[in-house]
Amino acid sequence: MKFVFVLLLSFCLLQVANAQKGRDPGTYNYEVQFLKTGLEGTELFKVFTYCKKENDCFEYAKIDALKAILFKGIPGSGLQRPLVSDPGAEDKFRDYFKSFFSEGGKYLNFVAISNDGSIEDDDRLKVGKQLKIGVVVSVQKANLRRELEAVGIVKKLSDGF
Amino acid sequence: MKKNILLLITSLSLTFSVFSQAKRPTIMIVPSDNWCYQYGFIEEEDNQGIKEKRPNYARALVENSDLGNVITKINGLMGERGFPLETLDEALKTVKQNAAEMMLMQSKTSGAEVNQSAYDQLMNVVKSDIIIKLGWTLTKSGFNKSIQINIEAVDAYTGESIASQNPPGEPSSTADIPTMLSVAVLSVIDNFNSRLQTYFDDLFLNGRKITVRLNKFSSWDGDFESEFAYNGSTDELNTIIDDWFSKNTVKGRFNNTGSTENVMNFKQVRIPMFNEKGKAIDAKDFVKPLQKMLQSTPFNIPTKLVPKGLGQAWLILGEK
Repeated sequence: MKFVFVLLLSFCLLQVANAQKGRDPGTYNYEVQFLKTGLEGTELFKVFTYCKKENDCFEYAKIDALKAILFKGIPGSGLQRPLVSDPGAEDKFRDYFKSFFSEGGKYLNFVAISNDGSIEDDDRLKVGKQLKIGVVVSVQKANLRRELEAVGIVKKLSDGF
Repeated sequence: MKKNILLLITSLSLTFSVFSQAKRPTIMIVPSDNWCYQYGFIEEEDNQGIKEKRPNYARALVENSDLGNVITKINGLMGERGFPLETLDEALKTVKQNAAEMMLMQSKTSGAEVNQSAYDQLMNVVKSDIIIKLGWTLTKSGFNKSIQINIEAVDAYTGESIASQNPPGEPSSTADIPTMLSVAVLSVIDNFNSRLQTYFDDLFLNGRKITVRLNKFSSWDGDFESEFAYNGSTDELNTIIDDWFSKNTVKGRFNNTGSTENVMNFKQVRIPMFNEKGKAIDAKDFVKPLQKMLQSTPFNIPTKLVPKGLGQAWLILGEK
């Protein structure tokens, strides 16, 4: 009986630990603000993202910026409409995106932390038990579009002609 | 024998793949009328006694280096997306050559010269499907200056705006004008192309939009309410013509905006991108079969087909 109780308790603790280890990969709990257009097909965004540890926020910010560009579009920016126009593409190319956004994945070729990762005082907030941090990232939108065109997720403008 | 069959199948599939490719729409950039006014590249033209102000593209290209740079930048970005643009500079040279020949052309009957505006001449030379009208406004506020770029794609067939972008530019106290223009172009091009993509999707799905107007010469004793026995039934001419549009438009889409005994107006007429031979067609090409039908039995109506640009045609019944 004691053994069963210990087993159940361990199982519950393990579940809690797993849930806290990382966030839900499908999360859209972030805010992206357009800052400015760069010269060589890049755009700067400030991404407000939630995390337990500040370092995690930097990694989440890169992924969140790309997800916003790919699936949501960012008002006021040069990418107001989502780059992936087919609403079912995220599911259709699930394996590709899983690999793309995996640790050390291809996504790192298209996004980088800007300003040496310095955070303005107003952009570091405590929300409940979490941190909300505004990180400036630079996205190479032209290269990102080329990559997605090459794998057939985004239609080329000249397709059909 | 097997080899021959294989060869035949390969040739057939190659032929099919070549013909199943639609012709790429051609695009050309011109400075917008507003920009030309703003920068003083306007000249007066005499259009049959009426003075009209027209943009002078050739002078704009020579005298404003920023314009050439911005066109080159957009051309490069569009080329990267598989859409190299028609060059305005080259088109203008051809217009100049043609103009000399046009000077010698006169009407057969009245001896009148052919009258065309600079814009009409340009459109006749390039026959672009899409015209991009480009302009920008430079604003100064204290030490800061900003550039608001204005880029609009217009369907040359209908004059309909199909994509436009004019976001306010970022103020800067240090950047020079060419750099600011370059950034302005980069900031609009993706949103602009996204709208262009929507337009292309619509073209493939629903065909091009044109306008057709049918009139009658006063000398003709018939009208659009005259009755004819055609295809086993007797109907008024306007009903027969309406049926022709239903059969020949893409998905039967057109809008008969008003018919009387003397006139029939059709707008939003969706025509196929190509005819059965794979040739791109314009309003005149689309109306020609209707003209042939009306000229033959049982109608035997002489008609005059007047093309009005790429996207509009008039068919006048009763005389040639």
